[in-house]
Amino acid sequence: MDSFVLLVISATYLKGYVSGKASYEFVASLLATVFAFVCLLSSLAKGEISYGVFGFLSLPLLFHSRVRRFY
Amino acid sequence: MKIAMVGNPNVGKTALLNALTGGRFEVGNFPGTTVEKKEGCLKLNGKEVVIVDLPGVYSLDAQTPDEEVTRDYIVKERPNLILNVLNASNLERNLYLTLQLTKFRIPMIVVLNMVDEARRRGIRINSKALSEILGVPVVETVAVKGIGIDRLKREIELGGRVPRIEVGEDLRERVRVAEEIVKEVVRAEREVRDYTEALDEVFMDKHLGIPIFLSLMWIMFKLTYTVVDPLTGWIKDAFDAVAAFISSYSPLLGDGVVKGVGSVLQYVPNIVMLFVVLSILELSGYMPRAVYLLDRLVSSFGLTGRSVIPLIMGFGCNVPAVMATRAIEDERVRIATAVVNPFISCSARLPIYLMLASIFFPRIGSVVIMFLYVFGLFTALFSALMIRKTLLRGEAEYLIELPPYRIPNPRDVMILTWNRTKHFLQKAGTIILGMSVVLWYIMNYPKPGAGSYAAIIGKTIAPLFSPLGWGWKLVLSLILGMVAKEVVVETLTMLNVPLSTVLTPSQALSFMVFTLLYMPCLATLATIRAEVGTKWAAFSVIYSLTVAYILSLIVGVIARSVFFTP
Repeated sequence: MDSFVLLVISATYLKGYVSGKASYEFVASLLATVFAFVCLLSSLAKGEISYGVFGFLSLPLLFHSRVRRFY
Repeated sequence: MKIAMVGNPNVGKTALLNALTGGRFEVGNFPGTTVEKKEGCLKLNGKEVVIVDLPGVYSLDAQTPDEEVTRDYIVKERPNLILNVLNASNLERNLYLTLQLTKFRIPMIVVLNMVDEARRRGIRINSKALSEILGVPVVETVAVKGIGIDRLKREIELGGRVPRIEVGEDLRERVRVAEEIVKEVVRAEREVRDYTEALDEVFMDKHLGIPIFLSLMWIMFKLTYTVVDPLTGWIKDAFDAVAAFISSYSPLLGDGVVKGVGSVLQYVPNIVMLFVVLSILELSGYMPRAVYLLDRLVSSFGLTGRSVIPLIMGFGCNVPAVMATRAIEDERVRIATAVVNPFISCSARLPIYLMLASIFFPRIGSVVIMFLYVFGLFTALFSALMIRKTLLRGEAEYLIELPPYRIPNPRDVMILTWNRTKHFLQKAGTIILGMSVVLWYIMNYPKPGAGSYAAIIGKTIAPLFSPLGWGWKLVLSLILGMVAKEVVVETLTMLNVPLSTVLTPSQALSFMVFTLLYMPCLATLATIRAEVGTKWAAFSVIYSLTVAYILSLIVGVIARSVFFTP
């Protein structure tokens, strides 16, 4: 399921890139950040590192797309 | 002094009541959160003011039970003042009700709520001009942030004014007057692309909508199951230690009350986490869209837009969810929504899933729990379709008002979570505690073990469930679970059932499906009876038992042949 979420995030970025709409970029970055946060908590609880934590890399994009406000 | 708060659904009346009175009433970001009137008290210069929050309505034609409540209150109680709450982003439609209220000749104050959202959308309202036209004070507020509340209190002290204009009942006349007023007072500053529209483009996307919904569900169950797992373990260990200590002095208290109640309370962290995420999803405005997406996926299920809210509320508790069906205009749709609501997995069922998933599916527990929630939702929707195609035939218009997206206020999330958790804790302190005493008694009398009442009851009914492969102890837990679903976990714990040896993974999955679907708990059943009548309450019991039996059998067979070897 973790891989499924990553696939959905990638697909959302891709659709945003193809259509040129910042709203897709925003939602994909939001999803990636939330997922990274949950994976971090899960890693702390179980003592296993999950690759979902790399979602934090999308934070700059999240701020960028928020600044653009979907125009 | 008595004040009635009247307005369209989802304009922030309850948030305003909380801001005025310091109350902790639940708010929601969808129409129909309030179905019964709520009262709050406010002290103004030593005088006590009672504010009554009435269900949100579009008109006072008394066509639905909530419209009837609102109209009756104004006509029969004659409040001293009406606080007419309007959504500043949608002034014209809100004014239809305002104009209808003018005929009562009761002093009124118009509250333009959510002015911040209107400004973000580029809408400016000249509240002074609006006040002059209507002849009543107009106060701009942002209730969730407490903006404008002091001014509103001052206006309440002054007592408002009887409206200058009187339009009354004719809808066409009201529409015409509202249009004229809007032309006078509203100014669109610039064309702003609405962020709700932009986000809907993604969340309701034809291809990505459902995958995003499933991803969010997965995140929710990962939080509920994995993240709080250590906490659950610590609470369980604490209760076990206390139970062992006390049972040496009093077996009834130790092995009965503490063990029984503890078996349910150990899942409080999971339930709190589920409620936090559900509250965030609800208050953000995402949840109605999720249900709409599912509905679009499998065509129409014969429900209306207003059925969505009770379905969402069912994830918390089915009792208020069934009560929320009052806002549905169409009687047939209202009955169908109330009857299928218990299929939505409420929080009481979560401890059962958590207990069995941790034993049989330790690595994919979150997936199994997510499957059960989605399975319950689909069963409810398909059941609604069946009922509407057979017993309650007739066309119903599918109109859903999707609320705007909002960043949830942490205080509202906290109130919503606490109110729901409180309900769970209250049940643990009353029904679960009472049942632990009953259980201990029937397990030990007339003689412990095979000669107990528990064994006699369980063994008598167990043959009915032999196709599903469940022993008498499991069957007994299901029977007692009819009182409240948490009692299933309590019974299994108190009977010391070695689940990993008496069940195979496929049998455990079918047991979970059965507990998800089989008859509503007593409180829900009583609410269904009160809302739609005895006949439909009886139908709900028979129908849900039949569906649960058939589907758990099918799930068991599929699970055995596809996923698991035994």
